[in-house]
Amino acid sequence: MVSALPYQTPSAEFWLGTDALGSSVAIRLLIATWETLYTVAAAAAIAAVLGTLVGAALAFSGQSRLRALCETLLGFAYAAPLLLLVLLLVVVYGDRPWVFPSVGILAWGGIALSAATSLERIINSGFVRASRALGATPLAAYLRHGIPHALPTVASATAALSAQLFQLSVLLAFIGVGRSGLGNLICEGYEVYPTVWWTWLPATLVAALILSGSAWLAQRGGRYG
Amino acid sequence: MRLFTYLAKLLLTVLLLWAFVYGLVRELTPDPGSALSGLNTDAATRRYLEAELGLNQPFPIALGRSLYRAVQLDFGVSLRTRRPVLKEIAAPLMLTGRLALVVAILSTVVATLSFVLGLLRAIGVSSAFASAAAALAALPGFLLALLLAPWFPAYGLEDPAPRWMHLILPSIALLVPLLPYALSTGLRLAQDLRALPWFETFIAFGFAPLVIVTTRGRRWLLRGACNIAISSFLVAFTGSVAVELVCGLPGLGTAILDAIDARDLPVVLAISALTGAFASALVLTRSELERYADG
Repeated sequence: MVSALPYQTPSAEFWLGTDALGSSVAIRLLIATWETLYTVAAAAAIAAVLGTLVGAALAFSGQSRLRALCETLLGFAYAAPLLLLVLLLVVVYGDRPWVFPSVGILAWGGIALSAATSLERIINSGFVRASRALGATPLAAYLRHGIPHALPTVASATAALSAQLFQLSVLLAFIGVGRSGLGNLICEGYEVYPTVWWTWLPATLVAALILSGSAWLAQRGGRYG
Repeated sequence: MRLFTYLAKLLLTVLLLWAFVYGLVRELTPDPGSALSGLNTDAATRRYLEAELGLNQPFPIALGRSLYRAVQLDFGVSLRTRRPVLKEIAAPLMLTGRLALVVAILSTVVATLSFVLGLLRAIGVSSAFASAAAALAALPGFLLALLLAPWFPAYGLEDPAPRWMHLILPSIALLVPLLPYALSTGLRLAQDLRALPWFETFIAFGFAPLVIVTTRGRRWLLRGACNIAISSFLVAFTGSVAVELVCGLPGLGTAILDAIDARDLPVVLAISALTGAFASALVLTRSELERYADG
């Protein structure tokens, strides 16, 4: 990973050139992308599991008051900007590995409401009513039809949340309060030597590509939900 | 009654937010004194912070006291500059507010133009446009600021350039991801309006679409304008942290990052609570205005 010459332009040996210490930017980019993706995936997975469970429970119980309470809590969660809460967590707990994934605990509300809406729609649809009329128990109809049909909606909501969390992770690393990752690589390259574009531009483009891709996937997935 | 419900909701949200932020700081930390002020802080600062945040009192009493002081806009003294926190954050707050206002006005203008275009030419939102819009909207402002910096240089406030010039790059960086949203909101609103039976009746009688909107569709206009203006303001206001850093703008984002670096907790708490309360007030105001517009 280490070469003798710093700031080498992109070549066959170093596809994306080298940085101030002579390290390969391409390899650093791969490592930074992986670091960012796995923390985001952990946070999104926590939010997806919590959101699906709460959404399924809401839909299965059919309690409109419980649903209204959940919506009120979700409104409260939306009111508090996630970035400020994460900044506060970082100030209080420092740069610990669990700090970012724990954001998933704060961000499951959107997935829960999407899952609940989708499940309610499916449970009340004609083919599920027909299967109930033919003798299927509520739980069997729910597991057999409800959950499989609600999965695209949950996947779409999770993809949208992942884009938001990825943006947050890059932003935190960029401003120097999060764990190392793509944002850190961009900031380091841009602050030290902005004209040496290969130290920060590829990381910027990779971040933009992943963000746009996940948002596009969420938008496309939403149409099938 | 509606105003009373709105105020009650607003008060409840702000109280919950404050209690959450305060509780997070106080209760979830094993040693709040050192965690909040940093291990290298002198004993006097640490004692001041413990007294200031009521760490030596039971939680309900300390929370009540901190709420009472927050209602009086007394957020204590900055540990770094020893000035009152409110004075410390007033100038950055105004600057970020001005930036967010510029972005909100521009996106409302774009949405209005697309609404007029959609109304006159019957243009709808295609699925390809919606997908492209979602992809563009996901781009964070600070990455755009980095990419646009060679064409729109950033001016710090100490720069001799006219004062409005320091808002160009951050405004563009914050506005570009909002453009697809503004465009699609305007077009969708026009599409929905054109599909209404009473609108079609007026058209059949030979009225011009713009005349119908200005005479009969004011509520629709209000609904759309409030939605786009408040949403854009919120996105720009809460999303300007890194954009300000890239553009060298000493706004609220730069202030909170400096405060985090210096572990100036009263400033961090005040900015978090004020921004959260302001954002929740705007979200509630938007939903109330939408409800009013819906009749």
